[in-house]
Amino acid sequence: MTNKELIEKLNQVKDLSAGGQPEAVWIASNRDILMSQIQPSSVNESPVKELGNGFYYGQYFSNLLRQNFFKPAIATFSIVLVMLGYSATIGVANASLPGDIFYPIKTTKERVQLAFTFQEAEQVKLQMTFVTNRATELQQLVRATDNDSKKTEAVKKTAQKITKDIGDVKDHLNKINIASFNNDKSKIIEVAKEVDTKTLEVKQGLVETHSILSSEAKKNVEIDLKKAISTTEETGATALNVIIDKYKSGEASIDSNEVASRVAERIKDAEGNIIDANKVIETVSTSTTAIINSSAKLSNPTSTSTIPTLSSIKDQPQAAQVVITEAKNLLDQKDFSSALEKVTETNKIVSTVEENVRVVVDESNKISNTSTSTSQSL
Amino acid sequence: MKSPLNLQILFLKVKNQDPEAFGQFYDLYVTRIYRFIFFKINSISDAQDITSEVFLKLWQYLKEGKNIKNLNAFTYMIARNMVIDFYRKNHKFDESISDEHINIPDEQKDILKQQIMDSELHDVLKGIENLKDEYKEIIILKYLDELSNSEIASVLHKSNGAVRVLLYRAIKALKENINN
Repeated sequence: MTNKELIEKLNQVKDLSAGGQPEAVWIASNRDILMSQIQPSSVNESPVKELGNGFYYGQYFSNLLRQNFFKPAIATFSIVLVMLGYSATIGVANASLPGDIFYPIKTTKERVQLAFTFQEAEQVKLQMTFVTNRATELQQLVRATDNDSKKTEAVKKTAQKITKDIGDVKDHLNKINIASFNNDKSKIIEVAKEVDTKTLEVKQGLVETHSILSSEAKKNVEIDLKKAISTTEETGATALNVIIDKYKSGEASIDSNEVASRVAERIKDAEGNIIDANKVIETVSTSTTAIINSSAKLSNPTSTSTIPTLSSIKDQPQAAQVVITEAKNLLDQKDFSSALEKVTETNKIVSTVEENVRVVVDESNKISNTSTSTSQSL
Repeated sequence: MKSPLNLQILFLKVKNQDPEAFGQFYDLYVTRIYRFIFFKINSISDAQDITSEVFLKLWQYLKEGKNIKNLNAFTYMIARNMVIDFYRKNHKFDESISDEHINIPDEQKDILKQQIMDSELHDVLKGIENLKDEYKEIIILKYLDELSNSEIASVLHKSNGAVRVLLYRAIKALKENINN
């Protein structure tokens, strides 16, 4: 028996007395009893209000309107309101900067996005996008007119976050590169290219941020910013190394011109670092040369060799220039790996310049302070 | 048979405690409520008593101004609760609400013999009899009393989804009973 047939039989069953049909006599007598029971029996009991059919029709249509129009309309309106609220919050959160009230919503949204990205290659790309966002935020933050300690703290924390996140990108990239021996090699190339390109953008952003900072803010955030820059460079070099390795091993089709162009970009970037280092030395030397050259030994006569002198620092960019020229030659010979190694070496020399300059400036300040106090005591 | 609009107007009048409208409501629902109760308690006299009480109780609720959203489902809910009370008072709750079968009374069987020419109808009736109580209840509410799923959900205090599942299982069990 099909369901339809069964339902038809059930419809027939209800007309049978065995199917629960009550006796007509009982129905009628019971009705009489019921009606006598429900009629108002005493004067205290108020009779029911006589309302015309018009009233009930009015009530019915009012109910109908409420149920079919107002309730859905209110529900729809509420949903729209919630959605608008959500969109507005997300919109505001997306435009927020570190230190803002809505900023945690933005970072939480990114974490959720990352948690729901299941392919590791896509995760790396997403992580890199977030790092790029952080670098952009940092620039916006520094460009903001107000310059207070809260902002400096936000810059410091964001720079630390970039260092951590870009370090994670590097580790993740290495991990999927190792795993790529068994997986899709074109995918790892794609990710490495993106990381290579974006690390250059991030680094550029960080350098700009550094240049915009006030001298007071620089004192507080310089170390963190420089750390972020160097980690970004390392991650970029790692990405480019992956591309070069894949190119050399022929595991995936990649154009030599493209590899050459990417290495050339890194060389150009390193040259930029050398220029910046020279500028730093030039700025510092105008204010500290006399003091350093005349008093360095006085400040620490027994161990002058551990304190770099300005003249020794001035030699370092030249050494870096020599290395980067070698890198260029190696690039011409299409020895991409060696060229990239030279770029890394150049960046290390330049970063040493900056560290040494800091030491010289500190030493200069100490000497300056000592001289002032000596002359005052005299 | 009243049109849906007229039925809704009648319900509004009943809710407004109009005795005449309540009488019409009684005429429309007495057979259904009686059948619903009869299938559960297997006694004509008890089914008649409980049916009377159901309508009286409904009137009392209306007089108390109780907010009744769905009069149809609410009436079945009163009937259902009264059946449960009936079994509690008569200490038969476990027997009847559990898997015990309810037999058709002898006098009904005689009438049945006369009326049922189609043996399949007899099989269907026996199939319903042998169903467990919750399946029997939902079959009656859905196919004999023609309540909507949401009304059944209100009567049985279940979700619409649970009603659909229960209905599916009840139909399956009924078919098995008929085939056996």
